[in-house]
Amino acid sequence: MFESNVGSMPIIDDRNFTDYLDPTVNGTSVRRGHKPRDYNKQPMGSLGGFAKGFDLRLIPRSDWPELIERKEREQSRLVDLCDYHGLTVLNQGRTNYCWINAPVHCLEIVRMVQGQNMVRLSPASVGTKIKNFQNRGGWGSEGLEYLVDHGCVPQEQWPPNAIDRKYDTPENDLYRDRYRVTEWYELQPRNFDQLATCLLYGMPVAVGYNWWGHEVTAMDLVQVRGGFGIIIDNSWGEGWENNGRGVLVESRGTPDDAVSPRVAVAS
Amino acid sequence: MPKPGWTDLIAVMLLVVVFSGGGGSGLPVSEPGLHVLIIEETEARSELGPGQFAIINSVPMSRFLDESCVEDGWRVWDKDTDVTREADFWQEAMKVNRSSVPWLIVWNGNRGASGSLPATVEATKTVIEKYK
Repeated sequence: MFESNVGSMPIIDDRNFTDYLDPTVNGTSVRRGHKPRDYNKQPMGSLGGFAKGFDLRLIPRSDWPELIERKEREQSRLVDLCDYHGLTVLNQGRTNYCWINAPVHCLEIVRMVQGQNMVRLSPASVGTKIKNFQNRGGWGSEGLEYLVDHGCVPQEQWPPNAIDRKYDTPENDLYRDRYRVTEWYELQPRNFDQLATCLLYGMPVAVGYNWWGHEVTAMDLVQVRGGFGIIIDNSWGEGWENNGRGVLVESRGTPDDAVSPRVAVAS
Repeated sequence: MPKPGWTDLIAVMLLVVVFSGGGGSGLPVSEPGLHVLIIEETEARSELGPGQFAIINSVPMSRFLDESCVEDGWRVWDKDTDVTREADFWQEAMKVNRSSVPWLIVWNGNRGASGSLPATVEATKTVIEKYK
């Protein structure tokens, strides 16, 4: 049976997941910040009526191994493309902004696939506006909604973790329209097949996990230990594990909240 | 990777004929230097041929485009991408008549062509190299 090459990435499963809840990275304990989305209060598609439901044809599980192997052989995985283009993971630092780091990283990846110039984007330029400059948790869908309606500011103009009103200027607002998501999918909660299909079609997914209290970016579907899993880009910086990457097996990687940006404004 | 057979070679030759070049491309763009625009429908990635996904989304193709095109000289856009903040020539290229997606537009100054995206990375490279 084919096994994906995941290098020295940790494989997080039901036996070892507690080891990854609150690790220290470079001597500092990490932050998380994902809050469970209340689907009763905010059902699918209700966030400003903005979210497009998932309507891709699901790829049957029987096809997954061949497609995983092919993408690895052809170097068409998102992790391969990020490595080639030098697009590294984000680092949320002392913020509780994992829930906006993941959608913003998805936007960076979509821009990379589109062939746009590499511009590192500031999660704080979005998170602060949603949380009124408080260092508070949230979930990816509310972050994506802001990226659709207003957009993001480059890190050059707004440092990635700066929760500071001095950056909230009319000049910086002019950048937002250039770094905006225009098409996306909202996935059904706890639906690994929809997540796998997006990944096999080369679409990054911001995935939130209630068990972890954390949101990360799902990059690629893999086959490990006889089952399926996902490679994640974690927003704990390159110092976490394998340059900020790890693998969640299906039981740990099935998301409670998931959104997949797929088209960005060209700029 | 399987070695190309006669059918692949014939397909490449047909593509070269379809992507006719020479003087005057008939395209509304004439920006100097090699430029490549691939237009897709992200909602229809399930309809891409098995070799076409690697054209849109792979390291070998990205490397080839980086090495072949002028700096910042290639794009892969959804057909509905908002391109109004891009240079005029990209916006003009996006207006080229297309009968389907995915679609390939290649130009280098006054030479260029457009047509359906070939089925493989190698066939696509062959078309693009004609305009280097």
